[in-house]
Amino acid sequence: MAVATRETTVEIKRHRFTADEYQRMAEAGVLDPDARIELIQGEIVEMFAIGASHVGCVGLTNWVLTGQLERRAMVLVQCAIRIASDGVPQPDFVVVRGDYDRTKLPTPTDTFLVIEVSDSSLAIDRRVKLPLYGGANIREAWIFDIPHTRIERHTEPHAGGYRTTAVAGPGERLASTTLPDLSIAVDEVFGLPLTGSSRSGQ
Amino acid sequence: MVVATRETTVEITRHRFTADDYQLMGEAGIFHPNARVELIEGEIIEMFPIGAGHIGCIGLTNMELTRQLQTQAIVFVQCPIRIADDGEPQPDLLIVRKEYDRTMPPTPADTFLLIEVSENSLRFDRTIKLPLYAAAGIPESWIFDMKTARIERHTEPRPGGYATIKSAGAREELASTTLPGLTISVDEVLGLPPTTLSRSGQ
Repeated sequence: MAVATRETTVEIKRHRFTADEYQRMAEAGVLDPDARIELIQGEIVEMFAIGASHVGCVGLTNWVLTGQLERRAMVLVQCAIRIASDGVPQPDFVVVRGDYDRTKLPTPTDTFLVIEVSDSSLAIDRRVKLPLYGGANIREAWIFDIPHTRIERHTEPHAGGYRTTAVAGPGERLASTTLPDLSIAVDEVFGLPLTGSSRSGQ
Repeated sequence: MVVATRETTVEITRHRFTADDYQLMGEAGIFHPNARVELIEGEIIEMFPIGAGHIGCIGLTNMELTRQLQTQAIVFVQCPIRIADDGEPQPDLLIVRKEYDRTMPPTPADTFLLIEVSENSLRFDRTIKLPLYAAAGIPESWIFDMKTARIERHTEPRPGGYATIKSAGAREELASTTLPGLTISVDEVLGLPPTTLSRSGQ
Protein backbone atom coordinates (compact mmCIF):
# COMPACT_ATOMS: atom_id res chain seq x y z
CA MET A 1 0.00 0.00 0.00
CA ALA A 2 1.20 3.50 -0.71
CA VAL A 3 0.23 6.12 1.85
CA ALA A 4 0.43 9.60 0.39
CA THR A 5 1.59 12.24 2.82
CA ARG A 6 2.34 15.88 2.35
CA GLU A 7 5.97 15.21 1.63
CA THR A 8 6.29 11.84 0.03
CA THR A 9 4.86 8.38 -0.49
CA VAL A 10 5.54 5.65 2.06
CA GLU A 11 5.32 1.95 1.28
CA ILE A 12 3.80 -0.15 4.04
CA LYS A 13 2.49 -3.68 4.12
CA ARG A 14 -0.84 -4.54 5.66
CA HIS A 15 -1.26 -7.75 7.59
CA ARG A 16 -3.19 -10.26 5.50
CA PHE A 17 -5.57 -12.64 7.18
CA THR A 18 -6.29 -16.23 6.24
CA ALA A 19 -9.85 -17.54 6.02
CA ASP A 20 -9.15 -19.54 9.21
CA GLU A 21 -8.02 -16.45 11.11
CA TYR A 22 -11.06 -14.58 9.83
CA GLN A 23 -13.31 -17.36 11.10
CA ARG A 24 -11.61 -17.40 14.50
CA MET A 25 -11.93 -13.61 14.78
CA ALA A 26 -15.66 -13.94 14.28
CA GLU A 27 -15.81 -16.68 16.94
CA ALA A 28 -13.67 -14.64 19.38
CA GLY A 29 -16.07 -11.70 19.04
CA VAL A 30 -13.54 -9.43 17.36
CA LEU A 31 -15.81 -9.00 14.38
CA ASP A 32 -19.33 -7.81 15.06
CA PRO A 33 -21.81 -10.42 13.80
CA ASP A 34 -23.77 -7.62 12.12
CA ALA A 35 -20.72 -6.09 10.47
CA ARG A 36 -21.02 -5.99 6.70
CA ILE A 37 -17.53 -7.14 5.88
CA GLU A 38 -15.82 -9.59 3.56
CA LEU A 39 -12.37 -11.14 3.36
CA ILE A 40 -10.96 -10.33 -0.06
CA GLN A 41 -7.42 -11.48 -0.82
CA GLY A 42 -6.52 -11.47 2.86
CA GLU A 43 -7.92 -8.03 3.58
CA ILE A 44 -11.05 -7.30 5.57
CA VAL A 45 -13.10 -4.97 3.46
CA GLU A 46 -16.20 -3.00 4.42
CA MET A 47 -19.07 -3.79 2.09
CA PHE A 48 -20.96 -1.00 0.42
CA ALA A 49 -24.03 0.24 2.19
CA ILE A 50 -26.97 -1.17 0.30
CA GLY A 51 -29.69 1.15 -0.84
CA ALA A 52 -33.42 0.64 -1.28
CA SER A 53 -33.23 -0.46 -4.91
CA HIS A 54 -30.56 -3.04 -4.05
CA VAL A 55 -32.69 -4.39 -1.19
CA GLY A 56 -35.73 -4.51 -3.46
CA CYS A 57 -33.85 -6.36 -6.18
CA VAL A 58 -32.57 -8.91 -3.64
CA GLY A 59 -36.12 -9.51 -2.45
CA LEU A 60 -37.52 -9.93 -5.95
CA THR A 61 -34.64 -12.19 -6.99
CA ASN A 62 -35.14 -14.34 -3.91
CA TRP A 63 -38.77 -14.87 -4.98
CA VAL A 64 -37.69 -15.82 -8.49
CA LEU A 65 -34.96 -18.22 -7.34
CA THR A 66 -36.84 -20.00 -4.59
CA GLY A 67 -40.00 -20.03 -6.68
CA GLN A 68 -38.32 -21.76 -9.61
CA LEU A 69 -35.84 -23.97 -7.76
CA GLU A 70 -38.15 -25.11 -5.00
CA ARG A 71 -36.08 -27.71 -3.12
CA ARG A 72 -33.66 -28.62 -5.91
CA ALA A 73 -31.00 -26.22 -4.60
CA MET A 74 -30.53 -24.02 -1.56
CA VAL A 75 -30.56 -20.24 -1.92
CA LEU A 76 -28.27 -18.42 0.53
CA VAL A 77 -28.85 -14.68 0.74
CA GLN A 78 -25.92 -12.44 1.70
CA CYS A 79 -24.01 -15.28 3.29
CA ALA A 80 -20.29 -15.94 3.33
CA ILE A 81 -18.71 -18.44 0.94
CA ARG A 82 -15.16 -19.68 1.33
CA ILE A 83 -13.52 -19.37 -2.06
CA ALA A 84 -9.81 -19.41 -1.15
CA SER A 85 -7.47 -19.68 1.81
CA ASP A 86 -7.56 -15.86 1.92
CA GLY A 87 -11.03 -15.17 0.51
CA VAL A 88 -14.45 -15.21 2.20
CA PRO A 89 -16.72 -12.86 0.25
CA GLN A 90 -20.46 -12.42 0.78
CA PRO A 91 -22.24 -12.47 -2.56
CA ASP A 92 -25.86 -11.33 -2.58
CA PHE A 93 -26.88 -14.87 -3.57
CA VAL A 94 -25.13 -18.21 -3.49
CA VAL A 95 -27.11 -21.11 -4.90
CA VAL A 96 -25.66 -24.35 -3.51
CA ARG A 97 -26.39 -28.06 -3.39
CA GLY A 98 -29.01 -28.77 -0.76
CA ASP A 99 -26.79 -31.44 0.82
CA TYR A 100 -23.64 -29.33 1.25
CA ASP A 101 -21.75 -29.77 4.55
CA ARG A 102 -23.55 -27.26 6.76
CA THR A 103 -20.91 -27.46 9.51
CA LYS A 104 -18.64 -25.44 7.22
CA LEU A 105 -19.03 -22.46 4.96
CA PRO A 106 -20.07 -23.41 1.43
CA THR A 107 -17.26 -23.75 -1.10
CA PRO A 108 -17.06 -23.39 -4.90
CA THR A 109 -17.60 -27.13 -5.41
CA ASP A 110 -20.96 -26.84 -3.61
CA THR A 111 -21.98 -23.90 -5.75
CA PHE A 112 -24.18 -23.76 -8.84
CA LEU A 113 -23.98 -20.01 -9.19
CA VAL A 114 -23.48 -16.73 -7.38
CA ILE A 115 -25.24 -13.42 -8.01
CA GLU A 116 -24.01 -9.95 -7.17
CA VAL A 117 -26.63 -7.22 -7.23
CA SER A 118 -24.62 -4.17 -8.18
CA ASP A 119 -25.58 -0.60 -7.59
CA SER A 120 -22.73 1.51 -6.22
CA SER A 121 -20.57 -1.62 -6.03
CA LEU A 122 -20.59 -2.30 -9.78
CA ALA A 123 -16.91 -1.52 -10.38
CA ILE A 124 -15.73 -3.75 -7.50
CA ASP A 125 -18.08 -6.56 -8.37
CA ARG A 126 -16.92 -6.58 -11.96
CA ARG A 127 -13.21 -5.88 -11.58
CA VAL A 128 -12.35 -7.43 -8.21
CA LYS A 129 -14.94 -10.02 -7.23
CA LEU A 130 -15.79 -11.59 -10.58
CA PRO A 131 -12.14 -12.47 -11.32
CA LEU A 132 -11.92 -14.03 -7.84
CA TYR A 133 -15.03 -16.11 -8.46
CA GLY A 134 -13.64 -17.22 -11.81
CA GLY A 135 -10.26 -17.98 -10.25
CA ALA A 136 -12.01 -20.08 -7.57
CA ASN A 137 -13.71 -22.05 -10.33
CA ILE A 138 -17.27 -21.05 -9.47
CA ARG A 139 -18.99 -22.25 -12.60
CA GLU A 140 -21.43 -19.39 -13.07
CA ALA A 141 -21.48 -15.84 -11.69
CA TRP A 142 -24.16 -13.26 -12.42
CA ILE A 143 -24.16 -9.53 -12.06
CA PHE A 144 -27.47 -7.72 -11.82
CA ASP A 145 -26.47 -4.27 -13.02
CA ILE A 146 -29.01 -1.86 -11.50
CA PRO A 147 -27.65 1.37 -13.07
CA HIS A 148 -27.95 -0.08 -16.60
CA THR A 149 -31.01 -2.29 -15.94
CA ARG A 150 -29.40 -5.42 -17.30
CA ILE A 151 -28.17 -8.77 -16.11
CA GLU A 152 -24.97 -10.54 -17.06
CA ARG A 153 -24.27 -14.27 -16.90
CA HIS A 154 -20.58 -15.16 -16.76
CA THR A 155 -19.58 -18.75 -17.51
CA GLU A 156 -16.47 -20.85 -18.27
CA PRO A 157 -14.31 -19.80 -15.35
CA HIS A 158 -10.55 -19.55 -15.68
CA ALA A 159 -7.77 -18.21 -13.47
CA GLY A 160 -8.38 -14.59 -14.46
CA GLY A 161 -12.18 -14.49 -14.60
CA TYR A 162 -14.77 -15.86 -17.03
CA ARG A 163 -14.48 -16.56 -20.72
CA THR A 164 -18.09 -16.05 -21.78
CA THR A 165 -20.60 -13.37 -20.88
CA ALA A 166 -24.25 -13.25 -21.92
CA VAL A 167 -26.22 -10.04 -21.34
CA ALA A 168 -29.96 -9.39 -21.20
CA GLY A 169 -31.95 -6.17 -20.87
CA PRO A 170 -35.58 -5.19 -20.28
CA GLY A 171 -38.07 -7.63 -21.78
CA GLU A 172 -35.38 -10.33 -22.06
CA ARG A 173 -34.41 -13.37 -20.03
CA LEU A 174 -31.40 -15.63 -19.52
CA ALA A 175 -31.23 -19.27 -18.46
CA SER A 176 -28.65 -20.74 -16.13
CA THR A 177 -26.15 -23.22 -17.56
CA THR A 178 -25.67 -25.05 -14.26
CA LEU A 179 -29.34 -25.22 -13.27
CA PRO A 180 -31.04 -25.77 -16.65
CA ASP A 181 -34.58 -25.17 -15.45
CA LEU A 182 -33.72 -21.78 -13.95
CA SER A 183 -34.46 -18.81 -16.16
CA ILE A 184 -34.20 -15.20 -15.03
CA ALA A 185 -36.38 -12.47 -16.52
CA VAL A 186 -34.82 -9.03 -16.26
CA ASP A 187 -38.20 -7.40 -15.69
CA GLU A 188 -38.96 -9.68 -12.76
CA VAL A 189 -35.76 -9.13 -10.78
CA PHE A 190 -35.75 -5.37 -11.35
CA GLY A 191 -39.47 -5.01 -10.75
CA LEU A 192 -40.13 -3.54 -14.18
CA PRO A 193 -43.70 -3.54 -15.45
CA LEU A 194 -44.14 -7.09 -16.69
CA THR A 195 -44.80 -7.70 -20.35
CA GLY A 196 -46.52 -10.83 -21.53
CA SER A 197 -43.37 -12.46 -22.84
CA SER A 198 -41.24 -11.94 -19.75
CA ARG A 199 -43.86 -13.06 -17.28
CA SER A 200 -42.97 -16.52 -16.07
CA GLY A 201 -44.88 -19.12 -14.21
CA GLN A 202 -48.30 -17.68 -15.08
CA MET B 1 -7.83 2.06 -0.58
CA VAL B 2 -7.58 2.31 -4.31
CA VAL B 3 -7.28 -0.96 -6.17
CA ALA B 4 -5.76 -0.49 -9.59
CA THR B 5 -6.98 -2.88 -12.25
CA ARG B 6 -6.25 -3.05 -15.92
CA GLU B 7 -9.12 -0.81 -16.82
CA THR B 8 -9.79 1.55 -13.97
CA THR B 9 -9.38 2.19 -10.26
CA VAL B 10 -11.90 1.06 -7.67
CA GLU B 11 -12.44 2.60 -4.25
CA ILE B 12 -12.92 0.20 -1.37
CA THR B 13 -12.94 0.73 2.39
CA ARG B 14 -10.90 -1.46 4.69
CA HIS B 15 -12.35 -2.58 7.99
CA ARG B 16 -10.70 -0.66 10.84
CA PHE B 17 -10.00 -2.25 14.19
CA THR B 18 -10.05 -0.63 17.61
CA ALA B 19 -7.21 -1.12 20.08
CA ASP B 20 -9.61 -3.28 22.12
CA ASP B 21 -10.30 -5.50 19.08
CA TYR B 22 -6.57 -5.75 18.53
CA GLN B 23 -5.94 -6.77 22.13
CA LEU B 24 -8.72 -9.39 21.88
CA MET B 25 -7.19 -10.76 18.69
CA GLY B 26 -3.88 -11.16 20.47
CA GLU B 27 -5.56 -13.01 23.34
CA ALA B 28 -7.55 -15.22 20.96
CA GLY B 29 -4.31 -16.30 19.29
CA ILE B 30 -5.17 -14.86 15.89
CA PHE B 31 -1.60 -13.76 15.27
CA HIS B 32 1.38 -16.02 15.22
CA PRO B 33 3.27 -15.44 18.50
CA ASN B 34 6.24 -14.16 16.51
CA ALA B 35 4.17 -11.96 14.22
CA ARG B 36 5.61 -8.47 13.96
CA VAL B 37 2.49 -6.34 13.59
CA GLU B 38 1.25 -3.01 14.88
CA LEU B 39 -2.08 -1.22 14.90
CA ILE B 40 -1.80 2.11 13.09
CA GLU B 41 -4.96 4.18 12.69
CA GLY B 42 -7.16 1.08 12.85
CA GLU B 43 -5.12 -0.94 10.38
CA ILE B 44 -2.92 -3.92 11.19
CA ILE B 45 0.40 -3.30 9.58
CA GLU B 46 3.29 -5.68 9.11
CA MET B 47 6.38 -4.16 10.64
CA PHE B 48 9.49 -3.83 8.57
CA PRO B 49 11.84 -6.77 8.91
CA ILE B 50 14.72 -5.70 11.11
CA GLY B 51 18.28 -6.33 10.03
CA ALA B 52 21.45 -6.97 11.99
CA GLY B 53 22.36 -3.27 12.19
CA HIS B 54 18.94 -2.40 13.61
CA ILE B 55 19.12 -5.21 16.18
CA GLY B 56 22.61 -4.16 17.22
CA CYS B 57 21.54 -0.56 17.67
CA ILE B 58 18.59 -1.60 19.86
CA GLY B 59 20.94 -3.69 21.99
CA LEU B 60 23.47 -0.88 22.41
CA THR B 61 20.73 1.65 23.15
CA ASN B 62 19.07 -0.62 25.68
CA MET B 63 22.39 -1.09 27.44
CA GLU B 64 23.00 2.66 27.49
CA LEU B 65 19.50 3.56 28.70
CA THR B 66 19.40 1.05 31.52
CA ARG B 67 22.96 1.95 32.55
CA GLN B 68 22.06 5.64 32.89
CA LEU B 69 18.52 5.31 34.21
CA GLN B 70 19.05 2.30 36.46
CA THR B 71 15.71 1.95 38.28
CA GLN B 72 14.48 5.51 37.70
CA ALA B 73 12.22 4.41 34.80
CA ILE B 74 11.28 1.22 32.93
CA VAL B 75 12.79 0.59 29.50
CA PHE B 76 10.59 -1.46 27.14
CA VAL B 77 12.08 -2.94 24.00
CA GLN B 78 9.66 -3.47 21.09
CA CYS B 79 6.53 -3.48 23.23
CA PRO B 80 3.18 -1.96 22.28
CA ILE B 81 1.98 1.39 23.56
CA ARG B 82 -1.68 2.35 23.35
CA ILE B 83 -1.67 5.81 21.81
CA ALA B 84 -5.29 6.04 20.66
CA ASP B 85 -8.55 4.10 20.38
CA ASP B 86 -7.28 2.87 17.02
CA GLY B 87 -3.53 2.92 17.56
CA GLU B 88 -1.14 0.49 19.23
CA PRO B 89 2.29 0.79 17.64
CA GLN B 90 5.46 -0.92 18.82
CA PRO B 91 8.30 1.57 19.10
CA ASP B 92 11.79 0.07 19.32
CA LEU B 93 12.34 1.53 22.79
CA LEU B 94 9.88 3.08 25.20
CA ILE B 95 10.66 4.62 28.58
CA VAL B 96 7.80 4.83 31.08
CA ARG B 97 7.14 5.63 34.73
CA LYS B 98 7.78 2.70 37.06
CA GLU B 99 4.32 3.17 38.60
CA TYR B 100 2.38 2.75 35.35
CA ASP B 101 -0.64 0.41 35.47
CA ARG B 102 0.84 -2.94 34.46
CA THR B 103 -2.56 -4.51 33.78
CA MET B 104 -2.78 -2.48 30.55
CA PRO B 105 -0.38 -1.50 27.79
CA PRO B 106 1.45 1.74 28.69
CA THR B 107 -0.10 5.01 27.49
CA PRO B 108 1.32 8.40 26.48
CA ALA B 109 0.66 9.76 30.00
CA ASP B 110 3.06 7.11 31.37
CA THR B 111 5.74 7.87 28.81
CA PHE B 112 8.92 9.93 29.14
CA LEU B 113 10.14 9.25 25.64
CA LEU B 114 10.27 6.68 22.89
CA ILE B 115 12.83 5.82 20.25
CA GLU B 116 12.43 4.49 16.72
CA VAL B 117 15.53 2.98 15.21
CA SER B 118 15.14 3.57 11.49
CA GLU B 119 16.95 1.62 8.89
CA ASN B 120 14.48 0.69 6.14
CA SER B 121 11.54 2.29 7.94
CA LEU B 122 12.79 5.88 8.07
CA ARG B 123 10.11 7.46 5.91
CA PHE B 124 7.33 5.54 7.61
CA ASP B 125 8.66 6.46 11.05
CA ARG B 126 9.06 10.10 10.15
CA THR B 127 5.92 10.76 8.12
CA ILE B 128 3.40 8.40 9.76
CA LYS B 129 4.49 7.39 13.24
CA LEU B 130 6.07 10.58 14.60
CA PRO B 131 2.97 12.70 13.84
CA LEU B 132 0.83 10.07 15.60
CA TYR B 133 3.13 10.10 18.64
CA ALA B 134 2.94 13.90 18.75
CA ALA B 135 -0.83 13.94 18.37
CA ALA B 136 -1.05 11.46 21.26
CA GLY B 137 0.91 13.90 23.44
CA ILE B 138 4.08 11.83 23.85
CA PRO B 139 6.45 14.53 25.12
CA GLU B 140 9.60 13.34 23.37
CA SER B 141 10.27 11.04 20.41
CA TRP B 142 13.65 10.13 19.01
CA ILE B 143 14.64 8.74 15.63
CA PHE B 144 17.99 6.98 15.28
CA ASP B 145 18.70 7.18 11.57
CA MET B 146 21.05 4.31 10.80
CA LYS B 147 21.61 5.31 7.18
CA THR B 148 22.96 8.79 7.88
CA ALA B 149 24.33 7.90 11.35
CA ARG B 150 22.41 10.74 13.01
CA ILE B 151 19.94 10.89 15.85
CA GLU B 152 17.00 13.29 16.12
CA ARG B 153 15.17 14.44 19.25
CA HIS B 154 11.61 15.67 18.58
CA THR B 155 9.93 17.71 21.33
CA GLU B 156 6.91 20.03 21.89
CA PRO B 157 4.16 17.74 20.57
CA ARG B 158 1.29 19.34 18.66
CA PRO B 159 -1.70 17.71 16.94
CA GLY B 160 0.14 17.76 13.59
CA GLY B 161 3.64 16.80 14.73
CA TYR B 162 6.51 17.93 16.91
CA ALA B 163 7.37 21.63 16.92
CA THR B 164 11.09 21.30 17.69
CA ILE B 165 13.68 18.91 16.29
CA LYS B 166 17.29 18.75 17.37
CA SER B 167 19.74 16.42 15.67
CA ALA B 168 23.25 15.17 16.36
CA GLY B 169 25.86 13.22 14.37
CA ALA B 170 29.06 11.29 14.98
CA ARG B 171 30.99 12.29 18.14
CA GLU B 172 28.04 14.42 19.34
CA GLU B 173 25.47 13.82 22.04
CA LEU B 174 21.97 15.01 22.95
CA ALA B 175 20.24 15.20 26.33
CA SER B 176 16.65 14.26 27.01
CA THR B 177 14.26 17.05 28.01
CA THR B 178 11.98 14.74 29.98
CA LEU B 179 14.64 12.76 31.82
CA PRO B 180 17.25 15.39 32.66
CA GLY B 181 19.97 12.93 33.66
CA LEU B 182 19.82 11.08 30.34
CA THR B 183 22.28 11.91 27.57
CA ILE B 184 22.59 9.93 24.35
CA SER B 185 25.95 9.73 22.63
CA VAL B 186 25.59 9.04 18.91
CA ASP B 187 28.78 6.96 18.82
CA GLU B 188 27.62 4.74 21.63
CA VAL B 189 24.13 3.93 20.35
CA LEU B 190 25.16 3.58 16.71
CA GLY B 191 28.37 1.76 17.61
CA LEU B 192 30.67 4.34 15.96
CA PRO B 193 33.51 3.95 15.30
CA PRO B 194 33.46 0.18 15.75
CA THR B 195 37.00 -0.01 17.11
CA THR B 196 36.46 2.12 20.22
CA LEU B 197 33.53 0.12 21.53
CA SER B 198 34.43 -3.40 20.61
CA ARG B 199 37.58 -3.29 22.71
CA SER B 200 36.23 -1.34 25.66
CA GLY B 201 35.62 -4.33 27.92
CA GLN B 202 39.10 -5.80 27.51
